[in-house]
Amino acid sequence: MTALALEVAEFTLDVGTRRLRALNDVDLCVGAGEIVGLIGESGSGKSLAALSIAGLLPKATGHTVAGAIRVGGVEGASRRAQVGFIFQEPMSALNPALRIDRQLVDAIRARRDADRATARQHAATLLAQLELPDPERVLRSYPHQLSGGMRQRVVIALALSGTPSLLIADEPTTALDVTVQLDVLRLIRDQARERNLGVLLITHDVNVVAYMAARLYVMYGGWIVEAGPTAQVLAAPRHPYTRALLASRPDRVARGAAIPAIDGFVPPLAAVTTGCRFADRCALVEARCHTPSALTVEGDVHIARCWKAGAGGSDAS
Amino acid sequence: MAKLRPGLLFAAAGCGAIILIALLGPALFAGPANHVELDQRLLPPSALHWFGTDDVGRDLFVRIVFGARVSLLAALSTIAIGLTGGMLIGGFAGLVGGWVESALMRMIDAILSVPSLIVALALAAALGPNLRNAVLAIGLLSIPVYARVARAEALAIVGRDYVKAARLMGASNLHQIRANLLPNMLPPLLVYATGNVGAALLATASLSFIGLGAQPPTSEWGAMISASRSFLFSHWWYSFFPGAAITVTVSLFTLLGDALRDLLDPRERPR
Amino acid sequence: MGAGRADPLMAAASFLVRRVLATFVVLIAVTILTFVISHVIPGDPAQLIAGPRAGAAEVAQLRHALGLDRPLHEQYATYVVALLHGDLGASIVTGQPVLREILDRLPATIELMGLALLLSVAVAVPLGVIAAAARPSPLDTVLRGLSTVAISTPRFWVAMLLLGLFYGALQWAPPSGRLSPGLTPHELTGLLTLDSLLRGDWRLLRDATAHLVLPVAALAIGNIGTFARIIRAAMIEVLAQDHIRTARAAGISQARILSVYALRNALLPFVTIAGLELAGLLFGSVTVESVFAWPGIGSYLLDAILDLNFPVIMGVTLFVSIGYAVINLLIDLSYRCIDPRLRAPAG
Repeated sequence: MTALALEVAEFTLDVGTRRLRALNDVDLCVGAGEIVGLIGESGSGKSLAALSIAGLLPKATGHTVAGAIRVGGVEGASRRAQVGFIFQEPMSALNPALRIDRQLVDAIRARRDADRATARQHAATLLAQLELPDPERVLRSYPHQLSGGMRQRVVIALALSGTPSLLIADEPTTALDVTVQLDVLRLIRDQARERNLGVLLITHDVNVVAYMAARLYVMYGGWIVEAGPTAQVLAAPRHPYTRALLASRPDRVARGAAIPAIDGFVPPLAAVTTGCRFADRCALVEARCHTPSALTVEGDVHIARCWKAGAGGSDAS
Repeated sequence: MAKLRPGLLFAAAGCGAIILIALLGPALFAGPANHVELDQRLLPPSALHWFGTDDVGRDLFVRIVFGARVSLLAALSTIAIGLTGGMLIGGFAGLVGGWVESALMRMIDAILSVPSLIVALALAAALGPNLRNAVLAIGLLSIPVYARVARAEALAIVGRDYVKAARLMGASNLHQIRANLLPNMLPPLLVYATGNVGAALLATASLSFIGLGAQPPTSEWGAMISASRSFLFSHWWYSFFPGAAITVTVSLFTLLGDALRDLLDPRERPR
Repeated sequence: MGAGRADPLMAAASFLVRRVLATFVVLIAVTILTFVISHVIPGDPAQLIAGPRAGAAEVAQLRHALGLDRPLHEQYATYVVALLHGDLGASIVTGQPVLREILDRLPATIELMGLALLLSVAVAVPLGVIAAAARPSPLDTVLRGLSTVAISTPRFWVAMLLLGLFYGALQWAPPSGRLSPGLTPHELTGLLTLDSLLRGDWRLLRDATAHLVLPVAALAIGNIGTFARIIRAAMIEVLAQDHIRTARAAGISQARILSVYALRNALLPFVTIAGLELAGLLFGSVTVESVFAWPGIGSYLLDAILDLNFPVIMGVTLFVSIGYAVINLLIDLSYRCIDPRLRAPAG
């Protein structure tokens, strides 16, 4: 059995002075060379989960954590070196005041012992592997002189520069033109295969997950509410939230028909969670959904945190 | 938000105390500011004379208390001039728009690119050395700064629907300024002005120190420091306490301005 | 380059033209301001120019000689023509041309203000960076408090306290002026420290430096506070940007993130603001030079005010305003070289 690229066990995150529960009892794993999706609305906690895994939570706000995170078999602060992070906004993810070569060389030298010339050589190789034409010109450029797609490739190069075991891609294509979105996704997939990298792909776009990921996790209100093989989850979602999420995909709704929105709002962070976080918006809500014990019904590979996960089936909606 | 409160409270309490001293101090602390006792000249600080006495035997503490009124009033007057002028020019420019606005703002920008305090110094010299003229000079030269802010506020207000509606119904410019513009422009401009009280006080005190502002025997802080220059090496307290009064007052008003701005605009901005 | 973007060279050229034109407007505004102050506001400009001791007949003669009995627009034209010939009038105390006296005193002020500016930046940048990085913490609160007090302290008072303490009480510093009696400066640039360095005259260098320490410190203290606040605010803004998170994720050390990745971006707006802060420095140098009997433009202006030497007051005001406008023009132009986003594309 190969080492897992990412192992998150019973991870809980409280933020701010009022200790609000942002992530609750998150269990998550990504195998080497495997692409795993993490989907949810904004505010679901998926980005906080990503930052937690990468050890990038901002210090200023204050937070406490419980549970374990292991990346490439490494735990604690040194796991940060095992993570490559691809950010959403290629426009703002690169430092506008420094040339690309400076940013790449610094990143390479931060993770390994190399002199400037060697590091620069490596940077050029990396850019070439990412199908950037004329790497030398790119290296000499400032970020504003590159197109969005080129910038996102540079961001990917930065993420790969430290030879990580895990790549976290947080909405990697949301900010890009439709025409380059597929290119970037394909690039991430190819790199994962070639380098035997685990990829945690964070997105709100079900189509991206369907295209990329073998398995997926669905997050809601800081909880993982459903997990399983992508095809299985998309075909037969077990959690009412997942069902609602899939039903609201614009491309799945018949022309002219109203897009079925989920009633209510994503719940604000709260100090204590007593029951299912989706209970307030759920059409199938019952009394037991508000009790703490309601949170651990499981299947085999396709699991969901819902009392009705087994019974409801995919056709109930 | 919660974290900003102690700072605001501290600054507001300090500024309030200084304003109280300026208002009530002269009545509370017996003896006129210019009470001369020649046998009490240049005494060091003591239980009787907390800040010591000056070269003609006047109590420095009493003079600084009296000076609070003079200095603060001078600073506030410069701001009143700048604010009024700026609001009229900026508000008018924002309301009428078009080439009048661009011409006015081009002019304002040009004057803003001039070291205003140096020009104020020349203006005060031309008007003649007294506190009123110094205040006038500093106030006039600060109009462009307020006009800039006022125009931005005016533009925001003019864009609102009820102002557009009033204009469609044929309300005159003058009516617009009175009914819609001024009441809505004033609060943000006042916050901005609060942040400038400190700088205004420093400017008036500097002009008095130079000899263009308050003239002896007025108990203005800058003028007191100017009078103390010959005694710097022998009687430190004479120079020290008026300057300390300026520093404390300006610091408190600067803090108040910062805290108010933070309260209204959570993004942190310099000055 | 991306579509829809104008040719950067053209953009740079049009910026240059617009900025130079704006400066031209500023210069016109300056001359109008000084003209109004000197010709319109005083009840009798001739009396002011002749000085308080001049007799009625003498004033009347001067009024005619200066053309003050002619219409204002004609007077303004005459005024500007004289300015274009470098004629700022003559001092009523010495009878010398004001421009020549200003140029004689210019190096002393440039040396003082230049060093004060250098010192301010050298102290304020680390303070601002540390405060921003330490936020929120007691250290940041203390540094903020100190910078608030620094900008709230009158420079002339600091000058007097420094002089009273380090010369009067402790005798560590020389009294005032630029050099001790008996030493003669080398006539090169007029900047004593630079000249003595170039000539290798260590004794002169030491003496000139000793005379500079207190006035430079008195002048710099306010700017240290202002600059530290600006740098801190700019750093906080930059540190919250996405690219800093990218740098953190890439494992770049905190020290390097602060000193290169964040500071590079924070310094860009700082340069422009620092140029505008020169106005405060100029005003401060009037009183500080006077306290230290520093033979520069500031004390020249202050002496002129005390003597009611009106041609000098107006000449210095005009000179300083023009200098200030030109320096800020140069800063704006050089800004385009500092900010890579405004430069022409690479390759």
